[in-house]
Amino acid sequence: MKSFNHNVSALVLAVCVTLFFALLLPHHLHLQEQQQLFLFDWQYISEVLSVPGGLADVMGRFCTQFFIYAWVGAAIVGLLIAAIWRLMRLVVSSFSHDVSAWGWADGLLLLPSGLLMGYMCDENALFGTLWAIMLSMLAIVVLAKISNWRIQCLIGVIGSVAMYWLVGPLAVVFVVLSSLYLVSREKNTSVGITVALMVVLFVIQPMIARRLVSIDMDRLLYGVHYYRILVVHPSLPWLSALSIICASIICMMIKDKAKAIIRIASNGFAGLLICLLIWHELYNPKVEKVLAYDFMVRCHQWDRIIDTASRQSPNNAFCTTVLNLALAQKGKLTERMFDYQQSGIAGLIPAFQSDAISPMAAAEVFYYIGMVNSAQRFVFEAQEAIPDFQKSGRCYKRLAETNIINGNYEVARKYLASLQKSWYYRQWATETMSLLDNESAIAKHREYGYLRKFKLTDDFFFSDREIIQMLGSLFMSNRHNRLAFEYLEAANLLTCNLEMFVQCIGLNSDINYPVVPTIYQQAIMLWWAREHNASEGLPNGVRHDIASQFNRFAAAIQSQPVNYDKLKEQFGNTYWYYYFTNIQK
Amino acid sequence: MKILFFSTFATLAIGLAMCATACTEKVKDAKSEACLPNIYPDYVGVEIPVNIAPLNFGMSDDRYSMVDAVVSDAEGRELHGQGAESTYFDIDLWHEFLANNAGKEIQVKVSAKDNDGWHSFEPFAIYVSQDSIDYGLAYRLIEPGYEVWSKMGIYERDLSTFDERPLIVNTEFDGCVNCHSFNRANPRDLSLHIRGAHGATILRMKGQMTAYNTATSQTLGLCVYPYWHPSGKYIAYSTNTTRQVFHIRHENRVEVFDAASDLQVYDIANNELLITPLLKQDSVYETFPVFAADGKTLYFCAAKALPEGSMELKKVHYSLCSVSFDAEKGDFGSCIDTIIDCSMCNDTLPGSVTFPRPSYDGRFLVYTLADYGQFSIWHHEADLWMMNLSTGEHRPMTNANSADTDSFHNWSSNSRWMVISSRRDDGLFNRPYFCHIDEQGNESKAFMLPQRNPKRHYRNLYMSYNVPDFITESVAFDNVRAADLINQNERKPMKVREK
Repeated sequence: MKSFNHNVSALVLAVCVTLFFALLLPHHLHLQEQQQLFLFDWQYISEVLSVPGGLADVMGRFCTQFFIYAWVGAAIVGLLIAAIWRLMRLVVSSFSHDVSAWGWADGLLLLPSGLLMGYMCDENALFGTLWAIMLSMLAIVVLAKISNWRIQCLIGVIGSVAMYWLVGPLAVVFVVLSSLYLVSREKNTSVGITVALMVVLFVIQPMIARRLVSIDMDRLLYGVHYYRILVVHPSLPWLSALSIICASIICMMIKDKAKAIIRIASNGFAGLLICLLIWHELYNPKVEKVLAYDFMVRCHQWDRIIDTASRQSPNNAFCTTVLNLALAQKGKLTERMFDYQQSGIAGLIPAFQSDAISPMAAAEVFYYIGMVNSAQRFVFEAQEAIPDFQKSGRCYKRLAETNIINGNYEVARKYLASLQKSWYYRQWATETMSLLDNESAIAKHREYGYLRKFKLTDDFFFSDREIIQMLGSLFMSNRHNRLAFEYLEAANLLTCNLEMFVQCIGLNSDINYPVVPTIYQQAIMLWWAREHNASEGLPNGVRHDIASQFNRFAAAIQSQPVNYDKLKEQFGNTYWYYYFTNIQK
Repeated sequence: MKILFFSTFATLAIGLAMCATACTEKVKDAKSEACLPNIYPDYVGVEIPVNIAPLNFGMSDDRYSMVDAVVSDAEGRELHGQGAESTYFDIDLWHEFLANNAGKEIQVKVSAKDNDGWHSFEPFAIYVSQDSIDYGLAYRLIEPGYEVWSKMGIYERDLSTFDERPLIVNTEFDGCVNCHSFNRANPRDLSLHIRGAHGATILRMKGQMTAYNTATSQTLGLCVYPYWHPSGKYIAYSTNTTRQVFHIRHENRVEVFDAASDLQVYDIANNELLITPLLKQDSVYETFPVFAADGKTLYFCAAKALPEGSMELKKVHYSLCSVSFDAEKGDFGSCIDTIIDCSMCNDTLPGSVTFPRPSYDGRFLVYTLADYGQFSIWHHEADLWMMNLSTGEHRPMTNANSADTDSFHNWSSNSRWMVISSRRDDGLFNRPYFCHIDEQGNESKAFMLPQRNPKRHYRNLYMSYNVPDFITESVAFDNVRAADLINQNERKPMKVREK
C-alpha cells in the first residue's frame, strides 16, 4: 500500500513538473534541443562516452532531442524528477528499514528532486546532470539489493571507478552512500579497507582522467558536461547531491516514530520552500520571452509572433527584429511597423554578436531578404558560439539550405548526411537530399528557387555600418524583391533619413503596391511638410485623412509644453511620433 | 581515454574484420565495365611512399553496397581488401606488399556490388616510390569558420598507420590554439601560439617548455607566422595587424588581410627579437618569413600597403622577396631582392605570392599563387607553383593542383614529399593531400591522407586540416604541462634589438 501511495505521489510530482515546464518554460526546452544534435551514429556516441560522465551525457542528449516538442520534453523532465524522488525513498529505505520513523525528515527527500527541477530552469543546465544523479542512486539501490556483503564490497570498489567514468564526479553520491551502507551493514576490517579503497580510487580518478583525456582539471572535478558553459560550475547539482547524502544520513539516524501528519507537513514545507526558491531565484520569464520569439521565428509562426507582440510590445532588439520580419512576411511591415515600439536599426537587422542565440534572428532576416551568404555566416557563427561545442540541428538545416541556394552541393550533402542520422530532421534531410545537383528542381522550389533569384549581382564586403547601402544593392539586384525594398525603406525610416527614403521610394515600380502604404504616406507627408507649406497641397499618394492627422500632430508638437503622454496616446503608432522622439534624442 | 576507447573499438573492429575476412563475399558473375572505377578518395594513378598506411577506398557512388579490391604486382603476389563502405587491407600485409614493390608499379582491380550484382572495372596503377615519407603529420583541426571559434586542437597522425593523437586541444584551456611550427619536421623544436584570454607563444627547445609574451612596445604586436632557422637558434616571425571581412556574394567567403605587418627574427639564446627598419616599413606589408635551406637567406612576401582605411583589397599583390641573414652575427643584409615581382599585377593580370616554402635540400621553393591578397586559404583560385632556385624558373604544379583551393603546404624532411592543404573535396573543408617531387622537381598526382574508412571519416569530419606539417617522430608533447603553463598566465617577455 505504501509503495502504491509513493508511486501515486511520484506520478503527481511528475505531472506537476511537466505542467511547470510545459506551461512556463516550453521555450527553454526548445533551446535545449536547438543547441545540440543527437546522432544515431556510433562515432558520435563513442566520442561522448569516452569522457568522464559519458553515459549520463549520452542519456541526457538522447532525451533532449525530443525537447523539440515541449510537452514531450516537459514530460521527460517530469518523469526523471519523479524517478529521482522515488529513488531517493528507495535509497533511504536501504539505510533505514522503518520508513515511518523518518517523520519530520520526510520532506528532506523532496529536496534533491526540487533542486534539480530548479536547476533545469537554467537554459544552460544540461539534462545529463539528472541522469548522473539518477544513475548514481540506482547503483546504490542495486548494491543494497545484493545479499552477500563481499560481493557488495567488490561492486563498491568497481563502482567507485566505473561510476566516475559513467556519470562523472556526481558519482560521489554513490561512493559516499555505498561506503556508509557497507560500514553500517558490516563492521569489520575488510569493509573498512574496502571503503578506504573506494574513496582513494574515486579521488584519484580525475587525476587519471587528466592524463587520458584532453579536458582541464576543473571540469574533471566539477563535471565535464553538466553545464553548457564549460568554465561555469553551478552549485545546484552539488547541493542536490549533498541533500541526497545528508537526507540519507539524517533518516538513518532517526529512531523515533512519527505520525503521518508530520510527514505530510514536512513534505508540504519542503515543497513550499522549493516553489519559493524556483519562483524567486531560478525562474526567469524574461529569458523565456526571448526564447519564445526565437522559437516562433524558427517555426515561421508569423501570425503568432504578431499576436504575441500585440499583447505586449517587444522591448529589446532581438524580439523587435523577429517581429519586423514577421510583419514583413505577412505584408504588414509598411502598415503596422510603428504600432510597436521600435529599437532603431538594431531592431531591424541587429549587428553581429558572438553568442549562440542573438545572431539567429539576424540570420533569419538575411535569409528571407536574400542575403544568403550573410545568413550563412550568422548561422555558422551562432553554432560555433554554442559554449559546449555541440552542433545544432537547426543550424545544420539552415547551412544545408544556404549551401543549396549557393550551389555548393557537396557541402550541403555533408550537412544533410548528418541530419539523416538524427531523429527529428531525418525525413526532411532525405527529401532535401534529392534536390542536390538537380538545378531544375531547385529552380522550382518554393523557397530556394525564389531566393536564388534574389541573389546579389555585385560583390562587396559586409559592413554593420552600411546596412542601407547593402540593402540598396540587394534590391537593385532584383527589383521584384519586395522584402529587400521594405527593409531598405524601413532602415531609412528608422535612421530618420527621409531624403534617402524619398529617393528610394521611386525605385519600387516593380513591386506594384495598389496604394502607397500608410507608413510611407506618413513619411512622405513629413518630408513634404519640411519643404512646403500647407497651401501647396499634398504630395502624390498621400490620403487626406493622413494629411489631417499630420496637421493635428504638428499642432500637438508645437504646443508648449508638449504633452508627451497624450502625444503617444494619439500618435504613438505613427512614423511621425517615432521620428519626433528619436530626433529629440 | 579516447585512444584507449578507440583502441578497444579498433581491436573489436579488427576482430570483426577478421571474422568478416573468413566470410568475405566472393566476386562472381561480375559484369565488366570498360571504365576506371570512380573511387573515393581518388587513388587512380597516384604515386605513394613505400611506408604509407593502407589506401582504403570506397566507391564514390553510394548505390554500391560492397567494394572489393585486388592489388597485384608483377611477381603475381596479391593483396585483397573488401568491405561494405570501404576496402579494408590488413595493415601488416599492406606494408609487406609495398616493401616488396618499392620502386615498382602495382595494379588495383576494383569490383563493386549494387542491386544489379557485381561490376568489375578496368584496373588502375599505383606507383610505389622508394622515397619514404616522414613518420607523421601534425595539423590543427578547426572548423572553417569566420570569427567565432569552437573546439579545435593540434593533432599528430602516424602516416604508416591510422593512429591520430591530440597534442593539445582547447578543451584544456580557454582560448584558441594555432600556428604550430617545427624545425624542418623535427618536433623537438616547437613553436606554438595560443590566442584569447590566456594568449602566449609556447616554445619547446631541448624538452624545456616556456610561455612567452611576444608583444613588445617596439613591434606591431604578437608574433605570428613562425619559421625556424635550420640551426635551431632563430625563429623568424611576422607580426600582423590582421583583419577579416566577409564577402556578401563571392564564393570566397572570407577575406583575411593585414592592415599592417612587419618581420622580426627571434634570437632564442639571447631572448631578443631582432628587428631592422628594412623589414618594418610602414609603406610595405611584409609577411610569411621563411629561411632558405642554408639559413643564409630570409624569404618573405611583401606588398605595397594600402592607404589607411582603404578596402581595395584586390589591389594588394604580394611579391616574393628575400634578404640575406647572417646567423653568426644575427644580422640582416642591407638590401631586399625581389624574386617574383607581383607589384604590377592587377585585376586583368592577377597574382599574389603567399606561403613560400623552400625545400630542405635547397633546390626548390613552392609557393601559393592567388589572384590577390595574402590569405590564399580562402581563395578558390589559389594554386601551388614551384620555383627552381638554381634556374629561377617557375611553373604551376599542374599534376598536384586541383580546380579548387590548393594552398598551405610543407616539405617532408627528405624534400621528396609535399603535403598540400586542399579544398578540392567539397570546396570548403581542407584536406591533406600528398605529392611526390622527383629529382627534376616533377610532381606526381596528389593523393589524400589515407583513413581506415575514408568515406565515413571525411564525411563525418566537419573540421579542416589546417597548417599540416611533417614530423620525423612523435611530438611527445606534454599537454598537461602545456595547459598548466597556459592557464598560469605567467609570460616571459622578449627583448628587442634593432639592427
